[in-house]
Amino acid sequence: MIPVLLGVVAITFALAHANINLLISEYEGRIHTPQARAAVLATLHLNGPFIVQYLYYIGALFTGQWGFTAPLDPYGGGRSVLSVFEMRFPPTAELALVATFITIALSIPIGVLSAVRKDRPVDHATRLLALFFVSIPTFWFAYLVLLAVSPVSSLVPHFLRLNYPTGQINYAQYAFVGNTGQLQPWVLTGQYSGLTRPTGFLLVDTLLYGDIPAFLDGLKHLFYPAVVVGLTSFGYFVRFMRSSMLETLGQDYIRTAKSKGIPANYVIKKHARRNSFGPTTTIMGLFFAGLLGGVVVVEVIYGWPGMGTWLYEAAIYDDLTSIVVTTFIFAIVIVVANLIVDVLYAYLDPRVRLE
Amino acid sequence: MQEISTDKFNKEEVVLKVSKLKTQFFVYDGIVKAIEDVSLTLHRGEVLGIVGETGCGKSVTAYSITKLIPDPPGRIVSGQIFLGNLNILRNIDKEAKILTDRKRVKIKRNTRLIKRNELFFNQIRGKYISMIFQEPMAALNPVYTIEDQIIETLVLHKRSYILEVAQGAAKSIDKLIKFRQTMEEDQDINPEKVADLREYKPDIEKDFQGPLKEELFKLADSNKGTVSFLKHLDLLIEEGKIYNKKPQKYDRILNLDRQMDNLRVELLKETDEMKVNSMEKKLANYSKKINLIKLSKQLKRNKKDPIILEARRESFGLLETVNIADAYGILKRYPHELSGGMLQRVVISIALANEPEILIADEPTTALDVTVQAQILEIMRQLQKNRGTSIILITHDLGVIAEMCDRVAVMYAGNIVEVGNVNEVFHNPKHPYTIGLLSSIPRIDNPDKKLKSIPGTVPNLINPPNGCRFNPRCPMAFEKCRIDVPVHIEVSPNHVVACHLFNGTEVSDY
Amino acid sequence: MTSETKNIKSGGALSRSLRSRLESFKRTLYFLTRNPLAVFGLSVTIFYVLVAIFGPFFVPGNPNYMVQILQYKGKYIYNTPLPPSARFPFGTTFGGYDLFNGIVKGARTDVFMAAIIVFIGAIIGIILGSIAGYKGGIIDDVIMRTTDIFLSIPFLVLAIAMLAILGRTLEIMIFAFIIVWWPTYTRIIRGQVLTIRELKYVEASKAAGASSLRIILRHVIPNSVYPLFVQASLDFGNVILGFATLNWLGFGYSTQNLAEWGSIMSLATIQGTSAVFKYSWTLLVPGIVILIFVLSLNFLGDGLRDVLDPRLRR
Repeated sequence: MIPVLLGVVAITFALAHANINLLISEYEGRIHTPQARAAVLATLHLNGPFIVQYLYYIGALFTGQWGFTAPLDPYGGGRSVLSVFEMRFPPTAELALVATFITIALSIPIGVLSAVRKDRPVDHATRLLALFFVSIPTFWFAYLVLLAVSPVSSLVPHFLRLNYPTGQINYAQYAFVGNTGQLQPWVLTGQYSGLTRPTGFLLVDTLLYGDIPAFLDGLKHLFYPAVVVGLTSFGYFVRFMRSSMLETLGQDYIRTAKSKGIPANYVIKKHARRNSFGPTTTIMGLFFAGLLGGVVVVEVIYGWPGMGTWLYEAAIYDDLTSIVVTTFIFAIVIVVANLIVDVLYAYLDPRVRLE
Repeated sequence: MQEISTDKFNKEEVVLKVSKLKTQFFVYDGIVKAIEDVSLTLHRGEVLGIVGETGCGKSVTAYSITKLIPDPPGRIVSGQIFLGNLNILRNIDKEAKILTDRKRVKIKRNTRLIKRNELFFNQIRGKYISMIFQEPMAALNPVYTIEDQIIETLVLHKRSYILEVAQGAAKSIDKLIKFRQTMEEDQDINPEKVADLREYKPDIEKDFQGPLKEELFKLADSNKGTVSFLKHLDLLIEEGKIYNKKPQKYDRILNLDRQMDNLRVELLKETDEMKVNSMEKKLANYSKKINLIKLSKQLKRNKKDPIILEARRESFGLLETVNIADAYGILKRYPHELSGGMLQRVVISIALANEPEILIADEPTTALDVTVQAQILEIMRQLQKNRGTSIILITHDLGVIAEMCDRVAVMYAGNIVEVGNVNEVFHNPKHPYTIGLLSSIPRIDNPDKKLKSIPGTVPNLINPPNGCRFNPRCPMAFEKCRIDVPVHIEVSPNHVVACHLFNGTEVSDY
Repeated sequence: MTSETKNIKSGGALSRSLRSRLESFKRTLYFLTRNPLAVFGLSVTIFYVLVAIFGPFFVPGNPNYMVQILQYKGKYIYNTPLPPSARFPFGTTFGGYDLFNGIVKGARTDVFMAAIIVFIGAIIGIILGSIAGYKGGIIDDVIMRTTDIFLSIPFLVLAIAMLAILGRTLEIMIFAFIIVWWPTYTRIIRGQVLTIRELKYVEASKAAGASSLRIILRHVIPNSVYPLFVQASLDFGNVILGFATLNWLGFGYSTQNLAEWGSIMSLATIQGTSAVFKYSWTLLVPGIVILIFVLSLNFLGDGLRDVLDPRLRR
């Protein structure tokens, strides 16, 4: 894991230092002379050999000294990137987790069913459905769902214009809270029903405060984006689950179990299922990367105030620090997810445990 | 289906009678007529070998007997299998309608009936007929311990017995503790008694009764040493203690189990549809309560439950009967930690856990080394002698047949071509195929320089040859062979051949 | 493949191996035609590819940019898209662009881009994968770790980052795609190579004195490309989706009138939900076009996978 981590950091490092002008853009206004520029470069340690720069980079990255947002940032340049991160990470995490949950909750039973009833109508329907979800452009699907839902109900925030630099609602700072139907600033929600957002996760916070209407409201808002992401990932996952299950069902020990007189549904529940999870966990990492990509797109479309929209805006406003930080965080999350999945695999399959 | 006594059994009694079994596989290229009109008779305590080339249908026959043929694409089309007096292939023709229009074959399945028959067969598999397979390394589920997989089958079919032993242990717990003490003391004081554990039998007779007594007798008879006996006693004492903590609960479960057992026995005899329906519903309801998955979890957490403990003790005993050293340690291991020979022994012990009447062994030694092979066959032979289990041994190795079997059936291309006593068939083979088979073995006493082989290859079973399926390769084939299917004729006592070269009366019992 | 073992040195090997390859190709096609979805996929894919190659010749205007029509029948249609009609088979979209025109040209853009990307990715994958699999050891480790690293970053994120920092040009886009896609192919090839190099005829070649390069070229690669074909046909669709997404987000090299499917869709969504609701074809038509294409590619890829599955081979 460590080499992968270093490698990922290296990539972000390369990205960050590929365009020096962009990097020092926050000092734009104050650089008028070559000496000033040299001074800035020196403070940021940008003039040494690459290794030195790399080490400084790692240091800064892992101690949270992430710098400040670019001057063109619509929410105010010069905000501490760390604080923006604290604000933006929980919504994305919520969305990603709920979407993953939806994907897994759908894929496992349907995949198993599809494998057990191979070549019957259920199987064919599942395969077609999966192919459909895999082939559909995520943003198109998300937008269509939005169109289908938004004029009708207030289930989705109404700010759905893409954030082009012509002055739109600063929805990153706001969220629907409670059932007032009104926008409330994220950070200022302390005034509303006593929420001070300890964890930043809307769903968790509302539960902590026992504010059930707000919880349900948050759930409603979360529903459509999560479903869109969940369904697209479902397309990938269910096919894999099915083939893994099929392979398990062909194994000898299934035959042994049947010859013992174990009823068919127990054979599947006890023997087949657990063995088919193993190979599935190995692709979880890749699959999670795809899911996060989908999360970015869906966030932008639904105006979900998370890391995806942050990245998107940062890319528009040439906010290099934000871009680098976002990329880094996404990569770290995937690396951690891979680690968790490896541990899970060892738990499931005793043959792997020796390592 | 009576309980057999372990010592004497009636060798004439017919345990299994297969009658005109026909199994086919419906694949894209056509219908594979895998076995056609296969009939067999198996007597109590007998070892029947089935021998033939790869693809001749031996495994298909075995799987058909336990109805393990994968349903698409295969189907048992017709036939009867009598377990005792009961035809367990009831309703087989009503299960599916096979419609052939032009080149496409469509199968319309009566799923409800199939499910019901499956439920029925689940009572038979593992309890009356068991199977062991070829690759021991792959036969067990790698994510569960050995213990888990042995206990699984015990809990499924032998639960009431297990509970009765536990109940006995609970009721006689003080005597048990005293017995254990005595044995431990005897190790120093009275070593001759300990040397042969059967000396304890009168003591056991005095103090204990019922299933507990039987179990203790079994332990004494098996004579595996004091350490093992003491371990068994420890387990019995422990389960007795836990049983006594909640006696009403376990008593209630025991009663339910007894009822279910009776229900099962009746189910196997019942032919009235309505009654069968309701019985199966009751059984299905109850099997939801013995949650096999919960059992695995309980095993993992080492939960103390008399059923689990007794089942564990039984599995410990089972592993001892197949001569596994350190049986108790093996229980907690995973299949990938054991060698092929040991795994096959575990598999045999699982198959024989519920004392089935019939054991079907499909090439059990083909994947093992020759030395291990000898051990396994020896174990099988011992177990067979001790319990009177009938064995169907499937193999392509004629040496194994000669060593183990009482009777042998030779199969070719889905038909049984010759059946009889092993000596008779090997010394007086009648069917040209058998003759060819036997002469293709290299022999020490007659060193021919060239190995004889049967020319030609096994026929395509989608379009088998007309008449006798062997006729294209048969050196003695004549006109009739290409037209008529030969019937089974008894050429000498207990020696039946299906070949036009011979004349006689047709028999159906072979 | 047993003919190969005898023909290490002789020149007749080439024609013999070609013939056996032709045989297996014919068999593959035969099995493929049994699968109705795959047939559908294949035919639709061929259709799209033909449109991509030849379409822009039959459609007015620069093949890379859409044709802009400011007035139609006296009305300014810049902000009021026209529904599908005889003149405009797919209608027009915001900005006065002929959708049919744009989509046909967009086919060429997308298909060519995807082809380049998949092709280059596959080449890199074959080279690196064979080296990693065949040589093993440290080289293998290094290459594998590198693939791990690149697989840990979501494609979209990396692409957006690269385009924002390094510039929004076509070259950077292609570069971003290839950077993200080469690991998959490398892994596939490596896996295949690992299996194949244990096969007996490779050992025989080595014993006969063939050099590693020769073995790789002649034995290993031809036999490991099958899963690559499957993956490539599935990836083709994914690349197109990714390409369209990037252009739709506005990070591509696109200008407003670029003929590219994703870019065309962005013209619609920029206007907001109510506008799109009113002029739904501006979003629906390009989307359906993409959907059908990627679906067909996936049908084809799935069909290929079923056919090339070694377990199904007799």
